[in-house]
Amino acid sequence: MRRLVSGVVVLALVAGGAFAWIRLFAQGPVGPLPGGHLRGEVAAPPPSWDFASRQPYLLVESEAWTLPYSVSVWFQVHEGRLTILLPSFFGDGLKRRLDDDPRLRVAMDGKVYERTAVEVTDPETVGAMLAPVIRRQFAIEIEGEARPVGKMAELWAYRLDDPS
Amino acid sequence: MRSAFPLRDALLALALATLGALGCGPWGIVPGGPLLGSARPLPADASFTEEHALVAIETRSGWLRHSVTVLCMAAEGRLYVMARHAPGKRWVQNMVADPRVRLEIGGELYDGRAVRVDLDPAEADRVADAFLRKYVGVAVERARWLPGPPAEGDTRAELWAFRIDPPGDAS
Repeated sequence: MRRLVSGVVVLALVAGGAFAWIRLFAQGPVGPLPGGHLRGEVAAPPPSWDFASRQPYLLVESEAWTLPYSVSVWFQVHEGRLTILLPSFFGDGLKRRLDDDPRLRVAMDGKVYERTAVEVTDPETVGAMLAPVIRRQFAIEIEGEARPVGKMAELWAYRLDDPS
Repeated sequence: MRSAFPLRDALLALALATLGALGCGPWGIVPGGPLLGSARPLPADASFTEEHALVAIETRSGWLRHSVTVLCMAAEGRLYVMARHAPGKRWVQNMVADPRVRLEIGGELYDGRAVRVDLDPAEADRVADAFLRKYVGVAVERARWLPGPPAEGDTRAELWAFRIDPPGDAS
């Protein structure tokens, strides 16, 4: 029994150490855990974000609060602008941080871009932002406005503008 | 007394935990074994499942049981589950081979029978609409399920949907 307890203690220490390492040093999330600070050369925004569409998710880091917080999010280049979509089903950690501080860092191709998140609520715009993401992720084609009906889930949409 | 082999003890604890996990249902994203307990047939009206974000489903492969956590949605009272990248998923292949399933919904166990429906456009579109409402939190003017595997160069996922009927329901 004593050996089993010591084994559990060792496992807990290993798990705790891994958790701390991921939260502080991992470049992006590991499984369900958010990661730490995104490293890379801070670059000026490109003339077009279309190159971003090659990847399925966008790696972003919130600048709110004390600990770094990086996650992968649904995104879309809409009318030449980078936009992100946050379904509450994946958690509201990033949304709560953006409420406090809209500054985000975006990592792409080894570079880091500084952006400011501006919430988008117009149903027609949200529908247009959501359509390519839902098609890519879930093989569902949608048309028209996306109106909130959230009982269990909510969707938060943001346009990522130049820092003000 | 401290053990001289903490790593060995940790591996022993991990092995015991793994064995324990295999003897019960899934744990988050980690698959599990049989859903143990007394089950009743899934009711014909499965609207109550809308209250639950995630359910566990147990599928069969010979005498082995394999359970995973899945999304579920109700449309017109029927219960549906869906799988992204379905052809590569063990639980999906198990259901295709043997449609008998067991579900754990809100701590209760239910037996049911899985019927693949994503190739039926009308029913699949209803599932798509129910999915968007429940998990994305939006209603759209039109939702259309894209059946089958994606064309070459198309980066969309392949999505399958199954209706879970009461066990004796062959409709």
